[in-house]
Amino acid sequence: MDEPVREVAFDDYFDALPVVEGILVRMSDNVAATLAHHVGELIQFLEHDEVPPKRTGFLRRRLSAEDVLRRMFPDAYRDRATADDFRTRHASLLRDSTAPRRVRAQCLGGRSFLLDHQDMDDWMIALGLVRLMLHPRHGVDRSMTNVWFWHMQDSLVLASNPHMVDNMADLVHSAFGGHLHSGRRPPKR
Amino acid sequence: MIPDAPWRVSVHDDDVNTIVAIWYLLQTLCGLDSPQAQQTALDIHQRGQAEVGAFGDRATAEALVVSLQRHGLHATAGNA
Repeated sequence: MDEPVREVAFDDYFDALPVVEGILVRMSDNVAATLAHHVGELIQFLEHDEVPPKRTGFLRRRLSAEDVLRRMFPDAYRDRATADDFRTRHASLLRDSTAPRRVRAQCLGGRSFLLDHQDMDDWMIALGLVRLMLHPRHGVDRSMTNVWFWHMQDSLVLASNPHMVDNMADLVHSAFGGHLHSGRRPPKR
Repeated sequence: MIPDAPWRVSVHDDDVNTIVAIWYLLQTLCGLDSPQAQQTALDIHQRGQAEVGAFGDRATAEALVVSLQRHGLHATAGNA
């Protein structure tokens, strides 16, 4: 893709608010453009196996499309052959780019819009997969872009299910005493 | 979910998906109610994985795995 690499900045914002008609999403122009860019990369990967260029760690080898595919859609069975067969049989569903395409169109169409139930599912798919295209599944990644993806997804979830906010304190206390990210555990004393 | 069904679907912990997102997706994709989904999300975080569905046939189990993987979760199937 010829677009420049986009990164979010500290004065950017992304809000998701529950309203009668659904979820009202508001974001800065730069967040909308950055998200559209990365979701565009996801579409290229799902449709054409194009792996986006790595932006850091120039000494690391560039991942192949197969590497990214296995990270995005991990083995569904313990047996490798059965897992590969699963990935082949369900390739058209796993690699369906309809949802990311709709999300990208919304981002390009403005910085404020309303999401209905179907839109919400599209966003969960796009945000779920775009992170796995850019970042490993294991190992905490504190890059600005990744943190923004977490923020976007959790903001949408809590806006679509306001009752979950009421249970957040218990959840955070039960899980890890502060961090919302599933992979982070409090340091041992 | 069918308790004694042979085809089991599990979700595994990772460092990409937040516990809030998992909690939400277990409700929308697996049909768990909010308290069930919350407890299962905690189990995934604390034990590394949790069973989220059990089915009588492979096709139904695989359909759920596909749906979960499409949303970025590490889902697997197994025959008990």
